[in-house]
Amino acid sequence: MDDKVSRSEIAALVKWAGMELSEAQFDQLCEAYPHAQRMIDSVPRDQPRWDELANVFEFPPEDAEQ
Amino acid sequence: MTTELECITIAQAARLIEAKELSPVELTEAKVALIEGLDGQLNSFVTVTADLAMEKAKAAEAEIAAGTYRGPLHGIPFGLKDIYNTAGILTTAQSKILIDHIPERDATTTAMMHAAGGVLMGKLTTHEFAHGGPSFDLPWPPARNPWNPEHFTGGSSSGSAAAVAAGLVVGALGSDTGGSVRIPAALTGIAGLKTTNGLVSRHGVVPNSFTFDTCGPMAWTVEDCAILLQAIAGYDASDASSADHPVPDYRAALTGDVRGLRLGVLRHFWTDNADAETAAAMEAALEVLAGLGAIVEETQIRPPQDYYDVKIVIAESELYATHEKELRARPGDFGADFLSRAFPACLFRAVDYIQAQRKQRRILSEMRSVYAKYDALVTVGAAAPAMRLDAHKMGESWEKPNVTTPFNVTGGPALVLCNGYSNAGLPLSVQIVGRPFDEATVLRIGDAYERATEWRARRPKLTEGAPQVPVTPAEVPTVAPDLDAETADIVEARVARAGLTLDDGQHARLYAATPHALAMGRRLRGPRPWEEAPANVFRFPRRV
Repeated sequence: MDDKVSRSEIAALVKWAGMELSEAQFDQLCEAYPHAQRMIDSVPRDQPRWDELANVFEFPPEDAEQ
Repeated sequence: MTTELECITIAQAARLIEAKELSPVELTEAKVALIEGLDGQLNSFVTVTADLAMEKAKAAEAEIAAGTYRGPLHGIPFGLKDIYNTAGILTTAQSKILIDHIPERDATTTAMMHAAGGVLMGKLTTHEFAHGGPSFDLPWPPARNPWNPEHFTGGSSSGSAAAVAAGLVVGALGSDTGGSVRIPAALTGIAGLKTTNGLVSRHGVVPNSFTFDTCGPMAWTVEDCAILLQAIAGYDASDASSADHPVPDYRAALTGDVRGLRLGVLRHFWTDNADAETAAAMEAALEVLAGLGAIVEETQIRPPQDYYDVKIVIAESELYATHEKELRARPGDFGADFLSRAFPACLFRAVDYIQAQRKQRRILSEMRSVYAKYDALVTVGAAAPAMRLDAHKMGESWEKPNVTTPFNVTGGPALVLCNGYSNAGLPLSVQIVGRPFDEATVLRIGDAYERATEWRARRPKLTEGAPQVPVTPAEVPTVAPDLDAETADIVEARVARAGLTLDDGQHARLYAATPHALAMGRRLRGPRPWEEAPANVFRFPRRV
């Protein structure tokens, strides 16, 4: 995916996350964003639909033993 | 529908087959004839495997004649929701995406049903990928309700419910992620059990939500559900979240005796939203249970919306991840209803997903005091009888919670069974909820209720060979509601980041869901202790 992202797009995502950033914090985020996006993009998107999560639901032992 | 074989239950057929008074071949032939005569009105099957069924029935008959009786499913015609993998048999999940998917292997549960001697009649209609609503834009039509084919079956195990209610199969397997066994059971007047998470293998069943998917039985009676559950319960190392937990004798638990059992009534689940007939049927059902000697008292858990937020954020995120490649590359190959549920998951953040899982763990913890006080909880199975198919409103699932999803979040067993009929002749239902892995108590209560009432004596009335009643589906919404500029910016940013290309209608339906999806995320942000961990935990894959 294209890692170019506009400052207005990042501003929308910051609001969506409910954050209020100072100008310096916002600048820092804009600088880091493409690196984060590259990590996100490195996650495979075409895994077989059967591939399970590594973290799976299980009852806490005290519930399973009732 | 009056002949004996049309209405026979698993328990009745099994007694006759074991005594060699009923031939599995004769029973299977009767079911094939019923499917040919009635399913044109019901659309309950995606694929009928009549030839294979006759082969299996003949083999069962020969085995039994030779003295090998495998148990109460031997020679019993059953069906599988079309998300269960069946070796060599089309398994579509009702989607164009899997239109030519022929698995090489059976799902674990499919293999268990075969090992028990069941006779597979075919693959049953579902909502697309066990999600979405009744859709008229898929390669196969939606199932119709046998009590009135202009009405909805509920879903997503829609064909399983319709086929059981109409007597086309004697039992079926469905799946329940947010109510998909229980809602269609409620709306078609059968019994359906959402099993405890981890009790029944999900291996080889097309996933909807890894966290919440459960497989479970659907049948005319609670006793038949117990028989089916016995065949499919148990640990499976191939399923990442399978629980290594003892499996009791479920049928032996059906004593008919509920004296002294403590039942907590969740009246707040129906007082504000159920129709008058549903509410009256619930009060009558509580009187029956009290009359049987159960201790019935009112209690409360959280409001349904709390559980719904947790389930929707987790499950829609997992569904989106499972289908992400196709959602980007070929969204037009999905039905509009499925997309109206899947696309808004692009608005959930990883943080929302984790917070939902942390809240789920808190909810599990809260339930311990409820389980300590009550042997089971009782509430409605559905808030109203089945609506007309043309009244289905796409996108409504974002707007309000249902009464089944809370128990996908709490994770224990939940049984729905018939507790009467509306004046229009449509089934009403009650839901019995138990402690994790305590299916035996839930089935015991349901069975006792069934024995004490006469609801099982009534069956749908259909005429073989009659034409299907035409239904014109409601218009698919195509006009986007107004969103404030800030919210619209969020949606557009997320759609762009997700790499989605939406047509105008898809875009409009995403906008309609947006306020509800964002509100769910916001409600999950509440303060919680640092140490509160997610309900899902890391597990090394097990050797199979």
